[in-house]
Amino acid sequence: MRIYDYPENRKWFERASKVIPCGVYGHFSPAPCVPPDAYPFFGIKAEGCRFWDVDGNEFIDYMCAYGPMILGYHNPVVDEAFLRQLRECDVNSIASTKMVELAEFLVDLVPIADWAFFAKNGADVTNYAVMIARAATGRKKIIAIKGGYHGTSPWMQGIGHPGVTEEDVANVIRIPWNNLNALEQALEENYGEIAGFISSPYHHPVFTDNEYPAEGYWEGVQKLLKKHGVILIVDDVRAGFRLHLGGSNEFFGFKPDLICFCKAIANGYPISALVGREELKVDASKVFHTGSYWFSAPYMAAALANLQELKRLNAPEYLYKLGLKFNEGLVKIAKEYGFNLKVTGHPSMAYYRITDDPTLMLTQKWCAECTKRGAYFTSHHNWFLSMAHTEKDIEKTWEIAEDAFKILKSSV
Amino acid sequence: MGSKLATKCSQNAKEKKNNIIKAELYLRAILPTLSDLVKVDTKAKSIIENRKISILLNLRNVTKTLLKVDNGKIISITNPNECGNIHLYFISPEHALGVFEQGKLPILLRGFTKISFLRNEFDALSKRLEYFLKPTENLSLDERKISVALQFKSALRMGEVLGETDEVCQTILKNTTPGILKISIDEIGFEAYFGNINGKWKYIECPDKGQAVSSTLSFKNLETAEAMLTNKLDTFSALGLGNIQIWGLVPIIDNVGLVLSRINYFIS
Ligand SMILES: Cc1ncc(COP(=O)(O)O)c(C=O)c1O
Repeated sequence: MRIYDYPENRKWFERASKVIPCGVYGHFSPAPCVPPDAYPFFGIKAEGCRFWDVDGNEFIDYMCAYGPMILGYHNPVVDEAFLRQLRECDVNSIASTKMVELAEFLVDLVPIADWAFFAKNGADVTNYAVMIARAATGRKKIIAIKGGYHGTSPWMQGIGHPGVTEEDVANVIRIPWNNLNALEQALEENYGEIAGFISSPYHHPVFTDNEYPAEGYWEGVQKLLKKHGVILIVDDVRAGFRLHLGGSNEFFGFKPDLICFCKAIANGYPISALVGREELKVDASKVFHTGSYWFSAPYMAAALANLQELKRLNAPEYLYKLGLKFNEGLVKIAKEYGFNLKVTGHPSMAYYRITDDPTLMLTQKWCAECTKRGAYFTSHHNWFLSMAHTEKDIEKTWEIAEDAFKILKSSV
Repeated sequence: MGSKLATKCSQNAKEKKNNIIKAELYLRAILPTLSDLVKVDTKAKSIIENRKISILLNLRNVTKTLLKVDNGKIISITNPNECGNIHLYFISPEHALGVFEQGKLPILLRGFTKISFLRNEFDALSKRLEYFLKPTENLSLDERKISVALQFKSALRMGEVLGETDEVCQTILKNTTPGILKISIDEIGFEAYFGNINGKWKYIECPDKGQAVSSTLSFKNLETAEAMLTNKLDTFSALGLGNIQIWGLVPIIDNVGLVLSRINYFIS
């Protein structure tokens, strides 16, 4: 099996580091790619479930752009819808009817949705949701989950992080996942002050096993929030449309007040959405929130085409089944080489950890070895499958995974 | 008027609190680095060769540090049971900061006959420490190695003190899984350990047998470590360029970085 190297990637990184903070910043930065010399940083082409880096190395992509890609790169249906709208009208001085069509489609698709609002990034809509909760309740505090990620706005970050002040996070209370007692305590201790509870539908932090809601958890949450008049915001930015087309809350059987969507909504085209219940529509209308590119119509056309395709193909079911099969194979191969690979979270976007080593170093080595052989795996974040991943791709990936386990075994 | 007064009072309370933390950093982190200094710098060691004396630095109602000088070696003890041959007293954090930052005099409560040690040897040692902790560009290569090692050690000691005194570092600790980070600069054979150990931010020179390292942060060369210490390093770029390598539980490395970056908030 060919082992990749990355001379052109390194050259580009050197150039980047001279003119861009971090070289490559944010979630694409080298920080979580351990060790960075096993990873590519610059791509030149992507197609289906594969991408190619500047060295010409080909990867089966298990990060799917960290979630946005769901139908496969360059999906012809979505791309065509985008291009058609682009030719007709992109940004403009007035809104597009595509926006209305997309909102109508989402209201039909998502059971709790009576209205929809569009922006660009996930954080645009998590911010908006929190503002609506505050506007609706006249309260200022927000409860969030420890380790939960909602974007990079100051209130969403932790104290001590550069650029974040104590005041920024003063109104955010963090509680552990799956802990109804902690939620109740936070509500009681801040009686009459909590505007909203924001959480992903299941816990998918980085560097840590992912966790489903415990039996009765969401039911308990809803009861407590109702008692205290608190708005329930589901941050479905990462998982949305992967578990269930009606929102991941439908997969787990509960009904929030607001849902934030982004990532998989338009197969990589930049657009996010907040949907909500009728009761919050007036409050939503009162909160001023907008952006230079939020009305750009081709992205709305892409979202509409993407969602229609996901529905036509019954994507969540395909992804779930493929995920189960993929994970079963990986766990079996790991076992054959004496390793225990733990798979947590939803099968189609699971988090993988070799439990034989609590420091993650083994997991990091294994992911690095797989990446150098053409299966793009990260060791800190859940991976993603897409509709473009086939059984054949998965079989090829198993071969790579096996080769990497062989190396791992010989090194421990 | 009333609210202005309240604001002023809360500003004063904050300043007072910060001064306490700052004074503790000097007493419990920077001064104890003298014990590392005499291990690695022959000049510093020679200053206290054949000397046996102990100095208690006592900040009223806050903390005490005992420096036991013994024939070229120094042991530092925080809040000791014994009192030194020399007893230096600071009536307030502001007084202590005046002594450490502006050359004011502490109150000498005991050791009048040993005052020459303070004026000569101790003063020379302190200056030598400052020479390495606030390096100029004229240091030789060997001196730069010493400087980097001492700066790291004093920073890690400060991190430990901040873990007990600074609310921000305590919050960071609450969000950090237990674990030990190994920091190393292979080129100069330096290594030190810091982490969330038994529910505290702690600096250790070397872990015990049962204490496994959960993350590592290694600098490729002296220049990268120097850039990091002088706040001139883009760490993500350095990672991508291979000038820094990390392994293991990355959140511990991130959070140790956050703790150490709090030092600048108190001491520049
Ligand atoms: C759960 C979740 N919420 C919010 C966000 C923020 O989205 P964006 O980066 O588009 O602002 C992310 C991004 O990864 C996410 O995973």
